[in-house]
Amino acid sequence: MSEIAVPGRAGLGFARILTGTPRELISGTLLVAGDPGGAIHLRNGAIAEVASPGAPGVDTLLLRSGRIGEADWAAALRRGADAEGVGAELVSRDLVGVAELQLLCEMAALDGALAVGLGRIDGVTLDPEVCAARLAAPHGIEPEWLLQEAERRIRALGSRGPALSPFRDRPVRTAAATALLEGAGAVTGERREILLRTDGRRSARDIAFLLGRSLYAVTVELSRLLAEGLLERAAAAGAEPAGNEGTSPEAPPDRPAPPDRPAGLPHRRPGASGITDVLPVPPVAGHWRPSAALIARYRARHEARVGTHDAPDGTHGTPGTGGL
Amino acid sequence: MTTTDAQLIAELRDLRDRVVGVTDVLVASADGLLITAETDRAVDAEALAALTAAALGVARRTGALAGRGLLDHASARFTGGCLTAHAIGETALIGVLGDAGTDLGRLNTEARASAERIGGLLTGAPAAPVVPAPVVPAPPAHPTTTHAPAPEGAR
Repeated sequence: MSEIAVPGRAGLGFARILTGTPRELISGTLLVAGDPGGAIHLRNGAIAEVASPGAPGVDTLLLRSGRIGEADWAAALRRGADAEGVGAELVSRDLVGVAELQLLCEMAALDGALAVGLGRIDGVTLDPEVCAARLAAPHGIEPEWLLQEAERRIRALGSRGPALSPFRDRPVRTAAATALLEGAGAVTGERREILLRTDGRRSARDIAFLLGRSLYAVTVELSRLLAEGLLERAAAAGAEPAGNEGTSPEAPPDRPAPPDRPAGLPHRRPGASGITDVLPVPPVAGHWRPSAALIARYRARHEARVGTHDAPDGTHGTPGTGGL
Repeated sequence: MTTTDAQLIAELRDLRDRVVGVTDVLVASADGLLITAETDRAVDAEALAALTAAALGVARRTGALAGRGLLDHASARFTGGCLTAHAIGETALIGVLGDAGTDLGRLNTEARASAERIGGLLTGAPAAPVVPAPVVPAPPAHPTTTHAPAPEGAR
């Protein structure tokens, strides 16, 4: 395993090692540490898959868009022994064509590279032994093409009007957008779907996963909506997101029951069981506090654990967790 | 909203910001009664709190039966996301829902750190400062066909 230091907070410089090394020499997994980071799976110099928590993979694109059903996907996973096997299984079941699967894999890899490049990169490690792709592109992906296209898209996003981080910014609809949504036929298609899901809690990346759409497409659309005044940036982390407060039993929000909740699912209500009349614990409604006895036990257990952390060998010490 | 409630909500939102893919976070008493939550409107936080406590209870009992010691957390991965539940002492728990892209390993590391601080808030002890955990690259785990919370890390 080799370590490659990558300076700077963002960029795709790491990908140049793919183009600067003779083909057929690189197989394995390029692990990119960072936020969101990711893994680039290589096979004989070609990219099999780029997986990142920051962008939807092929599985999410297929499942969330309704292109294939969950049962079919689960069956393909069971039958396909490896990354090629899963793709071959999908094709053999006529769930997707080879060309379509290759295109989906290329789009997902590009989105993954975009997410890695837009985020923070702490370093890159090449593990030449393992290529742990989940679903490999049937014909592989050209690293040069991926690098050029990812750079082009990063530049395109950077040149747009209002800068929007696909991971940190959680935009919220303005009153104008809400009025527009209520008007018949004013906003349709993907734009409407995206607008409906911007609630101050979700980033572009979250909406991309929710809809099973490309991170790039969703980020571009959010950027446009922001420029048109239909969206605005939500308050910074730690503040109340507009129109969507944290729920708590002390102030239950007036919201309808989830539409997809199965009928008959147990729905507990604080105090309904009468358990609070039996146990010496104050009801949750109000300011919940554990009993003095429980606090004493909890502190004793924690102090015992802190004592272990402070052991002379220092192997278990974790800075910053000893303040309880 | 009291200071502690505000601190709890801030801690839950901070967890969402620290780990990409976290969609909903809640704190509940060990018997499943909701204390506070930072959840989507479509999520029934009280039902989720009760079911998360039940999942943690099943994992704890299973670990005890198998002689695996005290429970730290229980995780489940679905085709469309994941759930992890961490015990906060013996009195409370934290439940976290993530989407399909969530790095479950990193989520568990960060959720444990949050659980420690929330434990301090609930017991009135001074909270430890936020220390960012080292970022370890890990590709998203395979989505599985698991559709019920399954105990994973009972120890």
